[in-house]
Amino acid sequence: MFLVTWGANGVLESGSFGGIADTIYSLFKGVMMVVYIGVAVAVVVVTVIIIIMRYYKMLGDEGYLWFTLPVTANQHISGKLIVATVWSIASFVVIVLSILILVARLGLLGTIGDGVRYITERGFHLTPWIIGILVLLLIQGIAGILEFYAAMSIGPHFTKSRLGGSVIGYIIIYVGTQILAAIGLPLMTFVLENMSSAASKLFFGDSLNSLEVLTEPSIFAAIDLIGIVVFVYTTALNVILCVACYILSHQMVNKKLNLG
Amino acid sequence: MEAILETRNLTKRFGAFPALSDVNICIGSGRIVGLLGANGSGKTTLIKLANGLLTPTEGEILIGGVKPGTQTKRIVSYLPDRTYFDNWMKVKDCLKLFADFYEDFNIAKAGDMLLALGIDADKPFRSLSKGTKEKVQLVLVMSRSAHLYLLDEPIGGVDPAARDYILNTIIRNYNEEGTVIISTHLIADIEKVLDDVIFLMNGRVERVSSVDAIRAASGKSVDEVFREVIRCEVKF
Repeated sequence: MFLVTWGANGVLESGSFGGIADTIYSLFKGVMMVVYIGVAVAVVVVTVIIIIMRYYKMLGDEGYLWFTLPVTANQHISGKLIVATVWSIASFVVIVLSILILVARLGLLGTIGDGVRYITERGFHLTPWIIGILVLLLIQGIAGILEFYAAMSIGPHFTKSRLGGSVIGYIIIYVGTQILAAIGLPLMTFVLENMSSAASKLFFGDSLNSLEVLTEPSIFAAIDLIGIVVFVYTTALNVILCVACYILSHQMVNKKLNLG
Repeated sequence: MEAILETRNLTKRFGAFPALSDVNICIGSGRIVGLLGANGSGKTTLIKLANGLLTPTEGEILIGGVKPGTQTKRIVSYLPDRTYFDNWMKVKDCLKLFADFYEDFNIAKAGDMLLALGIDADKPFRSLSKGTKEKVQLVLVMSRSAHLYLLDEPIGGVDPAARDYILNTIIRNYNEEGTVIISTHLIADIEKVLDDVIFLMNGRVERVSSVDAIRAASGKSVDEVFREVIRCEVKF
């Protein structure tokens, strides 16, 4: 991944050669970017496949080893979950670092720094936002892993095919999650509307029509409030999903285990 | 006699198919028991239920008086009818795994047995033949001082010389205070080591008896009696 990033930004930062060399250079630049994006996608895909396969195998022939060890269902699931989370974080860090390297080599770090300085000087709470987004990504990642686990645990009970059943299980869980999100959305919208209108009154008074207000620090306070509501809603939804999928997986492994 | 394995009205159905029906057996400690039956008679299902790898449809199965769980897995040593190690694992990884999880695992004994078999513990499983993998599993299982050994078809699919080796390994290494249950349809090869037998037919217990009682009553070997029982089943 880092090798490709190095190659990609090495090409991107090179100068002009003129004539046909420019055309070849542009073509090569495009190819390197495609390769970079391809490798980044591959990192994500391989991570997901490894996470799925580790659990899927546990419910197959390897289960004859794992489920005869004196270990509880909680230990089985949490052990797999911890390893899967570490894998996901490692992949995430690699991709973020590669993007940072690209940005740095393209000389864009200064521009981004200026932008950050501009908004933070005007009252935007950047650190809480970054922490909030990282926490949300982590919870969402764990919820995603547990969705896979639950699907693989319940799936084989619907059909004779373990793989087919797992896919059906995933579809059921995904649709269920979307329904849950759809039910919660009007609630969040209601809270958001009330909070944002209260916030606009609190910070802007009656001067909301004035465009000048957008440059005032108060706009960031309003954004913070909206961010908090969205964060709480999305986190709550993902925590519910995590708990539901964990309980489902645990029940299936603990009470309904049927290794083929 | 304290029961190490007991089933009460144990039934297991896969969909509408009854793999085991209303099985009631009680096996005491310190015995070598043959779980005998034709293919599809329910032997593997019964052993998997005892290991908690399957969930009963009705009734219950108890190991040392409790349902299969963490507590029973500490005292049960199980040899499944398949190899379960992933190919990336090395033999020594498996030894370490067993030593980590089973207090009754004797790693020195396992090492000696592997050495006697000429198996290199540094080799990954992908470089071993199917027969060697099975031998490694047998070594792991028999290096435990368990209360109950559940051996599913340990001599199935191997040549007669290997069968003798496997049986000798079992007899020489099991914890004599524990019970060994060997499932097989190759009765003639193992009846010499058995104390008791359980005949399973189409998911039902056809007979539970000591080997001596069968021989005394019929004047025939267990294998011959079993063949007669199967013939009767086929006729009806």
